[in-house]
Amino acid sequence: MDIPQPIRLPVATAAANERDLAEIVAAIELVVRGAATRVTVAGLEDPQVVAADGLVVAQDAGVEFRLGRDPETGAIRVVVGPVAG
Amino acid sequence: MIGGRRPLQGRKAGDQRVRVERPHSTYFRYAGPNQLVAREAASRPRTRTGRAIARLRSILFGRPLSIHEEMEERLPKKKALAIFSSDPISSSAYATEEILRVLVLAGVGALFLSLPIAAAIALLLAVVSTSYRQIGYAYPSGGGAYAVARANLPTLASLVAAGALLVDYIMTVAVSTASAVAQIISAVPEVTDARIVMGVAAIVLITLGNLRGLRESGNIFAIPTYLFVGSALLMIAIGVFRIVVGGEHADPPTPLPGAGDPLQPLGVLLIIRAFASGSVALTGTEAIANGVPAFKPPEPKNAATTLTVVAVLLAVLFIGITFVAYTFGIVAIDEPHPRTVVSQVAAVIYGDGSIGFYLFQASTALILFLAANTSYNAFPRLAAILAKDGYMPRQFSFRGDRLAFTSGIVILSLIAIGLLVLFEGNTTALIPLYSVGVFISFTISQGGMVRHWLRERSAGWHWRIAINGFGCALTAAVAVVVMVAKAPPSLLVAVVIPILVVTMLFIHRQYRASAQNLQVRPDVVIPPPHRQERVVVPVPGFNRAVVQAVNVGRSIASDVRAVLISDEPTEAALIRERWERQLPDVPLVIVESPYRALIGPLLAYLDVLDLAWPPDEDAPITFVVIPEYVARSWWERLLYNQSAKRLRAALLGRPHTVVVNVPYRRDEPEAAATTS
Repeated sequence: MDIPQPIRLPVATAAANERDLAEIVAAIELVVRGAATRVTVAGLEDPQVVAADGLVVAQDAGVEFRLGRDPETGAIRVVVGPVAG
Repeated sequence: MIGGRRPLQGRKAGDQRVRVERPHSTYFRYAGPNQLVAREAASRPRTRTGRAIARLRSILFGRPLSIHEEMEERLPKKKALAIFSSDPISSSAYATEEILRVLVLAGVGALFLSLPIAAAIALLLAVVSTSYRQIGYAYPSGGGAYAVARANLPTLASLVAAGALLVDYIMTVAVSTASAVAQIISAVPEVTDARIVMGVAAIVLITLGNLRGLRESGNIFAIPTYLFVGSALLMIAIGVFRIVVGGEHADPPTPLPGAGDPLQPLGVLLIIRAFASGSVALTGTEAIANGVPAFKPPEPKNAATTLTVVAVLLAVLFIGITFVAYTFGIVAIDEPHPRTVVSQVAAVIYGDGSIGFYLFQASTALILFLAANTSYNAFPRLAAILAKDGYMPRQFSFRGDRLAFTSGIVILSLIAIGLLVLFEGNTTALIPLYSVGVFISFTISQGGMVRHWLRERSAGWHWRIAINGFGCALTAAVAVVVMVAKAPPSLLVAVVIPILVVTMLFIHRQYRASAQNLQVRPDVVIPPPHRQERVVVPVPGFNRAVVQAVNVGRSIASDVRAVLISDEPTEAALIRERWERQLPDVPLVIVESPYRALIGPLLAYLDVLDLAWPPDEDAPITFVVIPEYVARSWWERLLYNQSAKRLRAALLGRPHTVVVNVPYRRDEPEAAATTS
């Protein structure tokens, strides 16, 4: 029987995802603590992968969460805050 | 070794040349494999302001001395005698007066006791100096009472000795200066009101002299010391000749200045008080034993010889001045203008207002001013020894450019000036604080020597132990007598010494605790680092300094993010836009802070970053890389980097955090090429 060989896809590593999520969680915490009204995180490696998790954390915390895309470069940024009214 | 030999191709085929490269040679001397010795150029300041300060320091304190020049700083006996004898010998200028000030309380009839009391004190001096000769031989590395006690007695005893010595050295400066000013006032009564100003100015001058280093100090002090000794010996010789051959004598003035009203009974207590007051003559005897390393080799022998000469000179001067003063009926006068006993002796012998009189007064004032120098040698040395043992802050063991222990010198001066101002420059008011510490340290050092001989049992230990044992008992008795007879002021010292001891024990405990914290077990091989690293670069905007800091951050770890704290969303959006375009690999976190605060939000960011870390993993090391613009002049320093300074201060001591400063110089071509 042939053993299926996994194909290595060019996905972000788990460590990078963890880092991105940690960054989003930190941003949410900053807004919750009142240290910032809004936090923009740009330049994350692959923000779409962790966006869902980030959204859950933001909703739990009662903080607005959205993704934005730069029309010229196409870079995705995460905007956290302000606290949902 | 930095540099090396580089083979070069010659002009013709087959030609080989070797270029020897020593890029370090301007700043370092090659002293062996992996060993360089810094030249003076290595410490030379690079900035214009730094060079100006260095020039000023050079004018005030002299050129920096290499540690290899220290041997040349050793003192020959003649110069050492001048430096170390100024304290003990100068005390002959006020010791007689202190005896007479007590005896006059019982009237004219009690003054005859000044002679036997002076003789008893001279006997005590003989015992103490003999004991200290032995200390110089047994402990040639110096340290005096503290070194002896540390080697032979419990720690507490050695610290009491150290505390007593420190107090003694400070008091030497204050008392000698106060007495010197009194000698000037005796000769020139018009300057009575400038008593404190003159004292403070003198201490400042001596401080500057000492900050220049040992040799210059020796030169400064040799002339006045020998001038005083010569003129005082001549004065005593003339006085004794006139008394013995000419049969001259005089009665004390009537009414007797300072006499008790009513007269105090001439009891044992009064005699003991007079003895306690006069025993101030012994202060400074220990300085030579403490300063043995400052002598030229053979250090102990030269120190012992110098000590004997000093003791004999002091005894002759003290008894001689007391004898002449008593025979001519001289006592201290405070009204209408203060006149010291020794100045009146000089007036009687050389003639009041004569050149001889003024010369003697000048030399007396000078030697007293310079007697303080004994402390300027001894105090910083003892403080340095205590600092090396961990009982004083470490900066006391660092030597300045001129091989002088700068911190010790400055502290000594400040406290002495404080005392002088507090006691309004009054010698008699200061003296009760003086003798107690001296006799406590004498007692502890003699006690330590008894233990030393008992342990060593070297040749002649029997008679050596007898000398030190006798000295210990005698000085202990005198310490108690001085403490009781001079109470309540003397009790102040009994409070200060325990405070010093407790402080030293506290410092030692702190150093020991930090040493235990820092120690590396000797039985382990250090593994490579296992904790993860992340970098946070606080950025004020987008510029070359920021780019350089981010690049440095990227060289430290792969997990790098920049943080921009902003209160201006529009401006922040512009920066973000540029960041995403030009530094797309590095995340930028824009924290909109409505309170225009910088430090608080950044610290909060670091806190939440820590909280977001998985709790089951070791906390990572966070490198906070701070971009800094290198100021090119003093006024630029005021304009830039103030936030960076505040941030550094706020991050100091934060766990798992390393602060990295990345200075950006305006002319750095590499960064310019990257970002332009």
